[in-house]
Amino acid sequence: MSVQLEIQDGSTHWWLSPDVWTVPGNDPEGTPGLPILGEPCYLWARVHNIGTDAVTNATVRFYWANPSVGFDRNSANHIGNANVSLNAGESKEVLCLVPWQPVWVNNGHECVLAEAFHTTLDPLPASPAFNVTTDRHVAQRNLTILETAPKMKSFSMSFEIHNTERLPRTFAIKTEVGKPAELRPLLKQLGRDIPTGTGKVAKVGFIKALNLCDSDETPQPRVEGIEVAGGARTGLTLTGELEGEAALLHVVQTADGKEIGGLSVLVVQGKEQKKGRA
Amino acid sequence: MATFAIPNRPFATEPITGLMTPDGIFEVAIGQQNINAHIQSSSGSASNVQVYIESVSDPGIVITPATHFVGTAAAGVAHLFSWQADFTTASPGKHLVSFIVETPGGSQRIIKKIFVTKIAFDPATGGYSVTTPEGVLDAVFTGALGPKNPLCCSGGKREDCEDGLCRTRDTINTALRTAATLARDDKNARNLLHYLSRGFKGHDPNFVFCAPQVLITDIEMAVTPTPAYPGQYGDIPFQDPPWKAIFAILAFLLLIAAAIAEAVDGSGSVTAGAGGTHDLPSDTGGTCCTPTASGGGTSYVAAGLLAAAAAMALIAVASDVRDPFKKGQDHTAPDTDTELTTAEKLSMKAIYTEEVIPGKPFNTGIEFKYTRITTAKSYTYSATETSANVHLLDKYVIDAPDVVRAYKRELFVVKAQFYDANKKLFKGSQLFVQCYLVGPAGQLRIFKLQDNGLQADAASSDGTYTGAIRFTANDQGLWKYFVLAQDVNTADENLSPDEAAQIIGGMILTDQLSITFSGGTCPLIADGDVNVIA
Repeated sequence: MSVQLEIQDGSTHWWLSPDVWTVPGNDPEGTPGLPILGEPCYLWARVHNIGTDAVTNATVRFYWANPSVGFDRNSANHIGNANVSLNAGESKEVLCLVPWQPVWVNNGHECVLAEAFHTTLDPLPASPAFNVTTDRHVAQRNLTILETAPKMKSFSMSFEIHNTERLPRTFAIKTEVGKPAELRPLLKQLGRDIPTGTGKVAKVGFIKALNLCDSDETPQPRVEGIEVAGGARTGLTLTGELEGEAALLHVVQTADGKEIGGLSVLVVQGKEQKKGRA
Repeated sequence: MATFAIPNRPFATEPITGLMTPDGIFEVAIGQQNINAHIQSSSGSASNVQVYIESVSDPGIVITPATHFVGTAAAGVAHLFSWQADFTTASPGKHLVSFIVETPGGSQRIIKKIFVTKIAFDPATGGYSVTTPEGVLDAVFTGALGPKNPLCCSGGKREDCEDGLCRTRDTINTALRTAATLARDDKNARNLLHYLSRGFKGHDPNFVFCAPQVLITDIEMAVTPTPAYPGQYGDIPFQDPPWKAIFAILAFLLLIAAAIAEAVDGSGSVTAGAGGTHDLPSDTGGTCCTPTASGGGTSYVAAGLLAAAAAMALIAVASDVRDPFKKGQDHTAPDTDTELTTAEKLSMKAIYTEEVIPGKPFNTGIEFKYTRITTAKSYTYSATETSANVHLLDKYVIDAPDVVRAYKRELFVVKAQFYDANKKLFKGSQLFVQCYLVGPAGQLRIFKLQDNGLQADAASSDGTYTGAIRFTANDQGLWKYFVLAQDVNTADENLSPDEAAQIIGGMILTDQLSITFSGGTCPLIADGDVNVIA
C-alpha cells in the first residue's frame, strides 16, 4: 500500500512553501494575509497524496516558530491539528481551526510550519528534527514583508541566530538577491499585491548593531565564522537601500557548508506605516 | 455538485447512558463524549460521500479521527454521524468544529459552533459551579423530591434504617470528596465524572439502579457575570442557551452520576448537606413513586430516563420562553446608567403539581426570588408562576419483530414513528432516536434509528426512523427494547441570542419512564421484547 503525503517546499528557496499560509482575523475562511499582532490568525496547508492509494484520517500538525532558534518538533510551538482524507493523487486545503495568537518574538520574524502524516500508512521520520529539505511531510513558510518609511530608501531588520546544540557551532550568513516573481506561487495567500514595478537593492549587508544610525559598521553582504556557544544566541541586522518599488532578498544560513535555514524579505516602498510577517 | 449543510448545532451524547445532554451542550467533567451532527444535502444528490471532522478550535478537545461513508446522499435527506472526542482538557466556551463533506465532485467545509461547560464541585458549600464565557453559575441543590422508601439496597453498604425504610446513607458530597482525593492522588489525570463514578467501568451487567431523589425542587443559584455589566440585561451563556439550560445540564449529569454513585457505595444524593429529600406535600395527597429497575442494561436505561425526565421537568418549571433570570432582570432595571450588575441570585422552588411524564403536557409551578446586586444597591423581584411542558409528543408507534433467528443471520429491524402535539410526524433531523436493547444477562446495546432511506430504512424523510442490529449466537434469550427519542435544538444561527435562547433541545419525548405521584414504583415500560433464537 502506497500512501505518500506531501506539503510542498518552496521552489527557489525551501522556506517559501506555497502550501502553507495564514488567514488573519476572526474568520478562518477569510482572505489570506500576513499575521497581524493582536489578532487571531488561522493556518492552512495544502496536502498532496502522491502515493497510489487513498488515505483516510491522516493528521496535519501546525506550528509556529522563531526561525532563529533552530527549532524541532519538540521546541516549535504546536498550534493545533487537523485531519484529512485524500484519494491517490489528490490535493486538499486543510484548515487548522485553533487560532494562533501571534506574539512578538525575534522582532516579529516568525515562521509557520505544517506537516502531514498517517501514523501507520505514512509515518513521520523517527527524528524530532524538521528536515524540511529532505522530508516531504513537512514544509515551512518564512517570509517577511518589510516596508521602508514613505519616501525613504533605507531599510533594516534585526533577527537572531540561535545554536540549539550543546556544543559551540560556527555559522555563516549571506544574502541573495531574488526576484519578486519568485513569490508568484504564494501570491494567492499573501493577501496583498506585490508591486508590479521593479526595484533593486544596494548597500545590502549585515551589521551587529540594531540600527545603522547607531553604528559606524560597514554592512557585510556575507558574514563568516559566527561562533555561537551551545544554547546561546546572537543577533544581526540586515540593512540596505531600496531603489524602485520592490525587491526580494533571501538570507541564507549555513553551517559546515550546508544550508540549514533561511528567511526571505520582500522589501517594498512604504505607503503605509505597517509591517507584516509570515 | 450537491451542496451540504448541517441544519442544527452539533450535540453531545454522554457515554454512560448514550443520551443527548440538555440542549446538546458538551461538559468537560464528562470527559469522553460523542459529537453528533446531522449532515444534509441542501441541494442536489451525491454518491460515495465521505464525512469527517477536520479540526476543532480548542486544542483541548481531542477528536478520534473517523471518516464516515454514505453511498447516496439524496437532496434534503439528513444523515446522523458521531465522532468520539475527549473533552477532559477542553476550555469552557463556544468552539468551532469544521466538518468536511467530500463527494466525487469536490469537497465542502462546514464550520459549526458547539458549546462547552465546565462543572466543578465546591466541597466548602456542597455546591457546584458551571463556567461559561459569559459568567459563572454557582448552584446548590437544597431540596429534592424522592420516594419515602427508595428501595436502594445495593450490596451491604447501606446503613440500617431504624424505621425499616431504606434511605440514602450519605450525600453525594462523600462521593465528591472521595473523587477529590482520587483526583489529587492521580494528579487530575482524569475528569470529575470518572472519579465520581469510579465504579463505572463500561456497562456493568450487575449495575442496579436506584434513585433516592427523583426531581430537583429547591435550588440556590448565583450568576457572576464576566465582566460586570451596565444596564438591565447581561449576556446569556454562549449568547444562546439560557441559564436554565445550564442548570438543567448540571441536574442531568448529577442525577446520572448519583445513580451510579448510589450503586457503588450508597452516596447518591445530589443535595448539599444531609437530608434535603422530601416527598410531595401532605396536602396534595400524593406520594412520589419509587424508580426501580432490574440490574444491568435496564438500570442504565432507567438512570438515563430519570435524569432526562428530571432535566426536562426543570426546564418546564423554569419555562422555555423566559427563564426566572430573565424575568428577574425584566423587573429590576437599575436606577442609574452607571451601576454595574456584579451578581444575580436566584432562589427557586419547583412545585410539581402534576405527574411528570415525558412528552406529555404536564403543568408545573415555581416560586422564585431574584436578586440583582449592583455596584450601588440590590434589587429583588419575587413571583409565583405556573408553566407547562412544551416538549410534546402525541404518540409514537414502534414496529419490530418479536422473534429473530440469529442462526439465520436475520437482522433485528426497528421502525418508529413519532407524532408531535399536532399529530404531525417528526422527520429527519428533527429527532435524535436510539434503540436500547437489554439482554437476558443484563447486556446493553444501543443503536441509532435514522430517517435517511439508507440500509434498513425504506424511505428518506418519511417520518419512519429505522435502525437494525444483528444478534450473534451468544445472544440467545428474551431481550427488551426501549426506543428513546429526544428533540433537537433547531434554532437558526441567524436568530438573535434572546430568540435562540427560547429554543432548547435534548428533551426526552418518549414516556417509557413516568414519575407518578400515587406511590408504588415508577412505571418503566419497555417498548417491546424480542426472542432471539441462536
